[in-house]
Amino acid sequence: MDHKDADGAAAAVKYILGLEQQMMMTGDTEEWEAHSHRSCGFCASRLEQARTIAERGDIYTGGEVKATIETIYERDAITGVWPLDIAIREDSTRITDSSGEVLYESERRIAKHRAEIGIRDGEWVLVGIGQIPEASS
Amino acid sequence: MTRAKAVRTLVAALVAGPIYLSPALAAASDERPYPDYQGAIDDGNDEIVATATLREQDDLLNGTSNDSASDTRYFRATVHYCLLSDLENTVLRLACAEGTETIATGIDCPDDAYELPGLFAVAVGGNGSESAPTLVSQGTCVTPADLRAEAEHAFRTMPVQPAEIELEVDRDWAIVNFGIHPRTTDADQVMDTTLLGVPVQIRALPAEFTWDAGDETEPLTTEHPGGRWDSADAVHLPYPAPGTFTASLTTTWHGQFRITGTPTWTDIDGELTTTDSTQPLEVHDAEVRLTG
Repeated sequence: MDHKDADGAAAAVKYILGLEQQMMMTGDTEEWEAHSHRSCGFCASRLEQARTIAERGDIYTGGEVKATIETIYERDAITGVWPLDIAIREDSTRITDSSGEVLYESERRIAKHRAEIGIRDGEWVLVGIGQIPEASS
Repeated sequence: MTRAKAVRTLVAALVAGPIYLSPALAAASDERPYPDYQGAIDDGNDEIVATATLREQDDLLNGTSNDSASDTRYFRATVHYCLLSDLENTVLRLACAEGTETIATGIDCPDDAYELPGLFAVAVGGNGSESAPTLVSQGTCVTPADLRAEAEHAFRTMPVQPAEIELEVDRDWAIVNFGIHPRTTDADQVMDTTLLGVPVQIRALPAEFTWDAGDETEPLTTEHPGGRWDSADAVHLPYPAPGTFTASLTTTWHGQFRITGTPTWTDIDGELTTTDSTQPLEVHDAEVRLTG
């Protein structure tokens, strides 16, 4: 992650996505925000959910997120963004309120996504997590 | 219905209290709405702005993509996504004025590159109305390396005119052992085309010339196009025996391409061949006759 190259980009994506569970559990959003780009809708959505959980006193259980890098593309010359195809494994997740009522529940899942990551002020920032464009014919 | 939605709906139905109203009820209530929690995977729907390949973009523009929608019009425009201008090593940092989200200006590309404008899409309604444009892919500097595969394909199908075999004297006969001195011209052939939306020139260069007399002698291969009978480049097909023969010239062409308007030609792998022939030649024995 210290390397500002493709390998560093891959390590950074894994690190940043690995922050998500802790943010949801503790409500500490500082590190997540430090690695989120302003154009990252995924980042903003996850941040908002973490804040809501903390604000309401809900309890987040499970939900460890682990990214596996499948393809690293060349850095985009215009934006400075590295695109990567990743497999996200999200462990089974449960959100309950303070009385123990289940508000959200999901089983363990794995999905493939396109991640984009760049460097802002010397730090890796997640630019977006989206669907992988389908290969053209 | 996904399990997540199923659970949410179940909770909304069973739990009493103002927080857990269904979304429809919440919208009509002053009470706090039920939190719309999701998993990380559900949130991974950001617009991917930098990863549509040139081929994918070209397919969208030409309507040949599986993703092309008949009610969507695609077009290019020189607008760049300045929201990303705070990232390091991005030319957007130079192109985007501070505080602007989009900008209609060019990006400085290297001399050998082509500035391909961003690709936008608008949804066309039934009455002909169009939605606001959405950015499908940003503008980019296209380099020859991005076009190499397309250029190779274009070269393979390039309609190259055969280099014509010419005789020093235009006639349909020759004399045994004197034969002929064929030659041709070594002019390049250039084709203008468009590859993935980029104007490109493909050039065929004659690299080898194979001269076949059409008799039992071995063909002769040269790197020059022949010349006058008394020059160093002269090609001599002697015809050691009489008969009727058709001489031919097979030319091997190498390819190069460049983005139109840029200075540097890039080699293309592979080669083409063309063949041209003379009319049939009657080769005669010269009979020595003493007179006087």
